[in-house]
Amino acid sequence: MERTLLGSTFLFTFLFVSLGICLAGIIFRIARWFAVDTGPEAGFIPVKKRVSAVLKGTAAALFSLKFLKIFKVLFFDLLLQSRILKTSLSRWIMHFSIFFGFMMLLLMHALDEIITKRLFPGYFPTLDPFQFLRNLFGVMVIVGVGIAVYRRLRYRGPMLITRYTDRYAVALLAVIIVSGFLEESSKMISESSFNRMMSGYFSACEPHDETALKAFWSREYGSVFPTMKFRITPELLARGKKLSEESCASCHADTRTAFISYPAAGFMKPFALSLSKSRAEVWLYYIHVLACFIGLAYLPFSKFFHLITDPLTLLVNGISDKKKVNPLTAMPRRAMELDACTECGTCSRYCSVAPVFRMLQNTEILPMHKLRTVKRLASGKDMDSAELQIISEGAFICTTCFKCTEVCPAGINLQDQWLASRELLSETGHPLPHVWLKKFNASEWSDRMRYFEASWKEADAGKERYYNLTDDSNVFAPCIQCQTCTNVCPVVAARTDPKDAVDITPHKIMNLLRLGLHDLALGSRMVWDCTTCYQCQENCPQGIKVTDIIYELKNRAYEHFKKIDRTAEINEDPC
Amino acid sequence: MALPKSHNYDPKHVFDIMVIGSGIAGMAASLFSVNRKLSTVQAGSVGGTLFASGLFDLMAIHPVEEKRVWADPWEAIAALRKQGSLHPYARISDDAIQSAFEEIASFLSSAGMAYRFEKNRNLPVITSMGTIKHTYCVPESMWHGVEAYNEKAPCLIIDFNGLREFSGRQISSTLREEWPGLRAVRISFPDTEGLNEVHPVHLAQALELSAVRESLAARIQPEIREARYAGFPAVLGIKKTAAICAHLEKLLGIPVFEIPMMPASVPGFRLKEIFDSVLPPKGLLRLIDKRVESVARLDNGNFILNIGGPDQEQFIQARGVILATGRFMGKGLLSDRKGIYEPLFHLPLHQPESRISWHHERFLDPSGHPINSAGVEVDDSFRAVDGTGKTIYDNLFIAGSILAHQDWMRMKCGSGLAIATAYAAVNAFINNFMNKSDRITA
Amino acid sequence: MKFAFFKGCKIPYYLEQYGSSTRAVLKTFGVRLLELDFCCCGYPNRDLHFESFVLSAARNMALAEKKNLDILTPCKCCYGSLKHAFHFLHENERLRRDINAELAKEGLVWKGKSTVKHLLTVLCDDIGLPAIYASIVKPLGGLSVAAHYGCHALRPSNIVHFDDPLAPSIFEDLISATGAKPVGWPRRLDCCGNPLWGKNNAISLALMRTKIADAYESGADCICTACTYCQLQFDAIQSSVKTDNAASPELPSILYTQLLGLSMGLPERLLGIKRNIIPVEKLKIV
Repeated sequence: MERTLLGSTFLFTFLFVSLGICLAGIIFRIARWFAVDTGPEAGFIPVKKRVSAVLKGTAAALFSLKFLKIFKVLFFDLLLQSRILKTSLSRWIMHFSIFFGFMMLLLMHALDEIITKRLFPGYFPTLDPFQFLRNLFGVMVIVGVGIAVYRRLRYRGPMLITRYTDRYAVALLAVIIVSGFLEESSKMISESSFNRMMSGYFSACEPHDETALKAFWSREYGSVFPTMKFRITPELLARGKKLSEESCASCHADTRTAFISYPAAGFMKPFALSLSKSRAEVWLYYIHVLACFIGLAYLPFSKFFHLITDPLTLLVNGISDKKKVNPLTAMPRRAMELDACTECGTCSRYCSVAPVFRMLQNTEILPMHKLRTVKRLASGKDMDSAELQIISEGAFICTTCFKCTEVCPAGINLQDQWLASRELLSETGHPLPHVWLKKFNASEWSDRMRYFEASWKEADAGKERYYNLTDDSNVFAPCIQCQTCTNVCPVVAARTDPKDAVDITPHKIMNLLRLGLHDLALGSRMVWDCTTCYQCQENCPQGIKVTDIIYELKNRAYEHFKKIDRTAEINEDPC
Repeated sequence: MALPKSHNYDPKHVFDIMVIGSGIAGMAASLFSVNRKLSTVQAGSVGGTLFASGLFDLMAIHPVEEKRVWADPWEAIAALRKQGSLHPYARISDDAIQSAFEEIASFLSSAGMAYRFEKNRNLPVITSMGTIKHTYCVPESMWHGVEAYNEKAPCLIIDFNGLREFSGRQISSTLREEWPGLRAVRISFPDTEGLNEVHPVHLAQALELSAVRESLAARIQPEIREARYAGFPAVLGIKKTAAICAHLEKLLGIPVFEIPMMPASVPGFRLKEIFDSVLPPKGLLRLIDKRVESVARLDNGNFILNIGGPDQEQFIQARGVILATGRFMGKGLLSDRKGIYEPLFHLPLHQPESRISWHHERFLDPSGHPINSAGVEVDDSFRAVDGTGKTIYDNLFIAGSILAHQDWMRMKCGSGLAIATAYAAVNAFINNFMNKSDRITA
Repeated sequence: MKFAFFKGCKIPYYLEQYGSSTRAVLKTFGVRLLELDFCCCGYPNRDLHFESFVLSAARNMALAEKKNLDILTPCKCCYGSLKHAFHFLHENERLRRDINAELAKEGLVWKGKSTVKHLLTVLCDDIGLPAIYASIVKPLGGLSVAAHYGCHALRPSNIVHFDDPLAPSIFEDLISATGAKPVGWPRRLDCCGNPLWGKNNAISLALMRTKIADAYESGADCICTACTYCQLQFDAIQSSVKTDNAASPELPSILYTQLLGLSMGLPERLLGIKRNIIPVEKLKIV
């Protein structure tokens, strides 16, 4: 074969293997979207139903009149990446550079045989504007990657975490682009490449023609001929120029338009001989192409997978109503979204309860971390109850304000993820504090607290509180137990099933605190069933801040009880 | 004056009168003031009237040592006067006291809480303990109880499971000899089965819904039998008691009445509700849960009162002040090692020589204790006076239980004292100060 | 007039119509609303961690302060939370110092310069009842409305400074302006039950149903709210637990901004009337 694709059967084979891995990986990961259980409906919807629902949904979307919506998503969200622009200009510059540069390199350069050549019949990679553009796109990627690296170093912390996947992705991109540039430069200075081209496309008419052409190329186009010694005269150059125009110009533009590779070639000149001897341009080419293939094979298992998941997610969520979730298609969609997250951290930066994170330092409050946890939960990872307690805290501190969903550049319906994972946590025994704190009654909590006394002494030690109503006997001294607080309490008044009713009424809580029986007050249902309507406080004839005291009790109870294992048996002394 | 909703009133506004205190005396003083078109501001904690039983005593016992019960309150007051007592009633005419009661009763009646009284007679009212209390003025909702007691008619007392402060059985057993036709029954209030505790105000609120009344009546119906009256603990609604009584009477077919309970009880909540919600629309500026921290007097005699609030200090200027802060419970009087004192104006007080003479040796001494008659002494215009009888400020008036020379708890004259002295103080403010003062008051 | 518009967490997802109707109504009175990068008001987290609640609220107030704006919020729970935080920061110097140290990390500081106002206060006191009366083109005669006050704006009065906590009148005054008739109902100042939704649904619903039965018995055609949570309770939650029980009738709930907007002749679309789950069409005011 005269011209094997890519010039070598080895590479050709490699390409197909990579492509195979890539396709298999993609199929595997997409298939998983239908198998993974996410959210509370998990047990009820068999895989078959999920697949058919998704197919139906897709068909319905395609045949509906949602073209305008689809076009809008494609153009603005995908092509212009307007969702990123909305939140941060610098991030948009970064991401758009990488995205646009890389996509253009892929389409114009990597797939030139398939695309560029057909669109532009006179295409040669060494002709302008392609040569120039290739350098431009390469620079875009490098600049983007540079900003990315800078951001990750500058904003290191819980809002932007750099993992190995991020490092691999950045490194791979860098290798591909840098090797590409170097390969181009090394070709420019390579004598052997020049000789190969000359033997193929040039026939000398006069004895000095060869020298003239080489002289012209070495002066103008940066070629280096280390073994040759010739004196450059204006006549020689003029002849060389003429010859170049006749034989080379149809395929070769001025190498200066390769505005990165040309100067790079200049730097490489001193090593030209050894580079040429070692056929640097060849092995750089191999590095470049192999890196691309590795990237291809790695794609489904790396951060690059978002090249597939994000457009899909944007499309799916762009044309469906985020507020009305179809339970049949919800699970595959959620699984896909879990793959779509690139952990860019935008959600966490806009999170409404980020200040709470700053105080409690539980990263499970931050949406970016939460989604990762949802992923771990979905993959069926075993977690102990202490870990689930921390996860549950984060899940229920979220106010479902919808902000993260609105800013997510990948268009993930985070709101739905939160609502679904909360339900799941509730079902598995880790509901919101107001519910699990009522798992035991006041005296049971009191027992548990005594049992785990060490832990709660520790929690109390060294705490400098801003307010200390519950420990201050002066607060309760004026209480005359007139029961007004209880009488005006709508919760005590609510005539419900006794099992839902409050146990220790407000005036009794005041009395317990007055008597110093804090542990009993802490565990009472009343504290967690308080609506905080402030009727008691407003109406207390003695001016006792009943509701504020109940708030303080909640804070303390939560602080103590969250550390207590609710599943552990306690062996009370039978005496 | 239109007042912005958020209490950001114009600090330069000069009010005619400021009432300090929010018990019955303070509320009555505020009512009399707004009725007389005075621009009025009132400061005090919430719920001063919560502890009222709903019954308005005028005077039932005198002298305290003898525990003599009077059928006619006016005779008791006349006896007081005759003996040269310094009791505040001695400074008010019967007509004025009568007018004060009528003005209060007509106000409460227009607000939905009607009262009944007989001109010259104290009324016997059954209490939740089964005792009989003699009082002057009873809420309409308790009236049939007076009738039933007078007739000794067959009567059913209903009480509710979980209502701790009330026992029908105790009432019937205490009164058995006197009133054999009294029978008690205990039932569960609708939707409270299984609860081991219910609270009067919650039952009252629940009864405001007709469905609850119907369900309750259905439970009582089979127990009525021979009874011609049905007595309930005082839980028949907060805001529409008259309609609730009428509805229950229709459902049960016999008259119903309420039996007062230990404070803080539902009738106290009703009074609070009425004073709280009806006075402000009449033009009263209520500074709720705000205490007067300190007082200063301007050169023109007006008082500047520093009103405490958690976030900002407020200053209110008033031409006159009515002090109705009560005794110890209302924090109108405080005590230290040297004795008792009045914290706001530092008024001289009538009080026992030293702490040891505050109480008699026996705690339950029938004649009460000297400390129970301590307080501020006043002139005939209810202005505070010093030890020599000289008026201290011409625009500071005193009303209610902070006044000296009365033992309202033992004399059963608390509400009457509060209402009558508030009336006298407001009128004195108008007649002896606003209209007579040579100072510019408008 | 210009305010920093504090929407709170629930409006964007659960109650868009409150945001849009508030904007529409205020725009006609020339009030400009600016949305800042606000976070949660802190209210939901006050149960668990006091300092987190104060930091959240302080951050919001500091953002408004930086722009020299007062805060306007349509939600009573946000209002109460911000007012409480204001009070605690004002009163407790150590707390203020520590919170400001935390805020300084993002270049913010709380000085207490910016005032927090509820929508109803702005309508009644800043815009004024005369201007509201003058704006009415379609008076809602014949409609009886139960004004639901909402706890967190009303109490504790010495901290929230909203209206007289025992005898408030601001809401009835504003409803009267639309031509509708406010009804007196015993439970008007009670809790809607929403704070317990998801935490103790039995009590939450008992509170709500008692209020609805009371409003119904007092002759109201609908409940009117001026709080995000109260409206969610009386609309979305009431409809989700709908029973056929005749003893617990369904009563629609309308936001005050919708009621006012309708009487001002504003387009239904801006007011989001169709987004209410229990249809208000049967009130015959649309």
